Formats: sequence, C-alpha cells, structure tokens
Amino acid sequence: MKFSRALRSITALGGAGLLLASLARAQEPGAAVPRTAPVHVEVLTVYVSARPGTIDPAAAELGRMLGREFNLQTLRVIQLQQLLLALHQIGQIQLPTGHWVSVEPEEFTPGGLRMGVEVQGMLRTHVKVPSGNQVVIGAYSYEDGRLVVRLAPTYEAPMEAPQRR
Amino acid sequence: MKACQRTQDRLEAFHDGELAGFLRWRVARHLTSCPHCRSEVEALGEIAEIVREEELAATPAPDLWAAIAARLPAIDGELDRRAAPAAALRPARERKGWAALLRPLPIGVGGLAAAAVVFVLWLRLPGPPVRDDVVEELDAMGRPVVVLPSDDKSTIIWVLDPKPVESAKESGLEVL
Repeated sequence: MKFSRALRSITALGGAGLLLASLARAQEPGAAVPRTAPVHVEVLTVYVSARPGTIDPAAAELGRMLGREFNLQTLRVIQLQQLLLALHQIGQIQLPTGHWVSVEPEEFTPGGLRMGVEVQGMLRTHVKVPSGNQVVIGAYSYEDGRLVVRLAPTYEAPMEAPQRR
Repeated sequence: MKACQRTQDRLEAFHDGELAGFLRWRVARHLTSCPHCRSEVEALGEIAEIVREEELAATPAPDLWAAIAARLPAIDGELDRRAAPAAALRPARERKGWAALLRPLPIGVGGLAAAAVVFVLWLRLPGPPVRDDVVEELDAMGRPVVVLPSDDKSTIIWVLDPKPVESAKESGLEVL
C-alpha cells in the first residue's frame, strides 16, 4: 500500500516536471513556432504558339500577360494541378514531353516563400514568391510552340514568434 | 578571436590609409595587442614594396621608342627572310621568370592583350538580367535565359530550348 502511494507520487511529480519543462521551452525567446499549414502551389501547364489559333479562356489572364511580351496567338491549357506541400516536401508534375518539374517550398522569408524549382534537364532556380504571385517559366518546345509552366503559391502569412524582452 | 576576424577584414584598408576616425583607431589599438594581425600588416607592406619596385622596373625607358624604331628595319628584314631561324626573331622571349612578363610591351602587343582581356571579361558577364527580388539563383544549364518582371505579381523566366522545332523558331517564340 505504501509502495503504491509512493509510486503515484513519483509519477505525478515527474509529469508535472515534464509539463513545466515543455512550457518553459515554448516560452523561450526566439523559439520557433511550429508551422504546420501546408503551402498550396497551383501548377498550370499550357501550350503557347504564335500560330493563329485561340486563347483558352481558362487561362485568359496568363495569355494576356504573355501576349504583352511575345507574339502569342494560341494558348491551350494542358494540365492544372494543385500541390499541397509542407516545407521541404518536393512536389512533381510531368510535362507532356516527359520531363519532370519539381517544386520544393523551402522557407518563409519577408519577401515571400522561397522555393526551389527544377525543370528537368533545363533549369534550376530559387525564387522568392509572395502568396498570390506567380512565376511563369518558358520551358521545352512542344508541337509548333512552347510549353509554359505557371507556379502560383498561396499560403497563410507565417506567424511571428513571440518576442520576450 | 572575433576582434581578430573583424580587424582582418579591415587590415588592407588600414594599410592603404583608407580608414579614418574611430575605425582606424580601433584597428590600431588591436594591432598593439595582436602579433598575428601586426604581422599581416607588415606582410602587406612588403607586398606593396615589391609591387612598387616592379612598377618602377616596368616603367618604359624614355628612349624606348627610339630603340624600337631603330630595330624595326632589321626585324622587317628578318621577316622577309622567312628561311631565317625563328629563334633569331625572339630574343626577348629568352628572358625567364616573372620579370620578363613585367617588361614594357610594344604598343601593338599591349593593345592586343588589352583587347583579349576586354573580350574575356565580356564573355564572363552574366547573361540574363536577373530580377533579384524574385529570382535568387538561376542555372539554365548553359542555355540563354531571360528574366522578365511582367507585372507586380508575375515574373517570367524564359529559357531557350536547345532543340526547338522549326515551326517554333518561325513563330518568333524562340527569338529573345
């Protein structure tokens, strides 16, 4: 009976100690707040050409943007994929040419989400993209035009760690 | 140790007299107590002395052109006699070591060397204009690439395909 009571006391004391230790750690100055919300990256792959044709209304805005830079008369949506990625998780999509496009959210920075992007055999880059902005990559030749990949991440603004003075 | 690291970044400027005021005072104060940094400043002084001496040695003599002009007909004659031994035409190359490189060069050779340097620098210029607030690093694996800030929210990275189909070339999408 006495042994059982002593065991219960030790267990309770140990539990309280662990709880206090974890609370103290959470309130350390500069302690990183764990961020679990994933990043949503929309990957739109389109085919564009200067040959007379139509602009797919599903990507009309992209067509207008590219049209300001290039002689663009045809735009066709090939695929639209939504990637839900945690930091340092790599998402991949495959182009109709067989090449892979890899995207890896790396870090939240004041200038936006830092992402590693690779178009297999063609391009490796690190870009910093604020939520709602986009990076458009002119990639491989395809049919009589080019493949274009638009990456548009959206995410919640990262939470600031509480600062203690 | 940290003071040493901070000072070492400034030693060259200190030696060249480019530091002033508080910074100069701090470096000087550190040098009084740090033999390592002091020896580095002394080494900088020795290097500067060597460079100065070599510069003096490389200064063309006032009568350099007269000497070259006097030798030109002889060299022309040598060139006309193509059968002449090549060694006869290059006595200057027999000089050995770095001192030979520091000798004054004829204007034509110097001009060619300067053109070569400019050409090499031009080749080494970064190709694409990178929009560094969005694009931090870019490796297009040797292909030409252009970064266009299209609007406030969009950035275009346009890589030229090494094997474009003919119609794509005609379409103008490969011309950038």
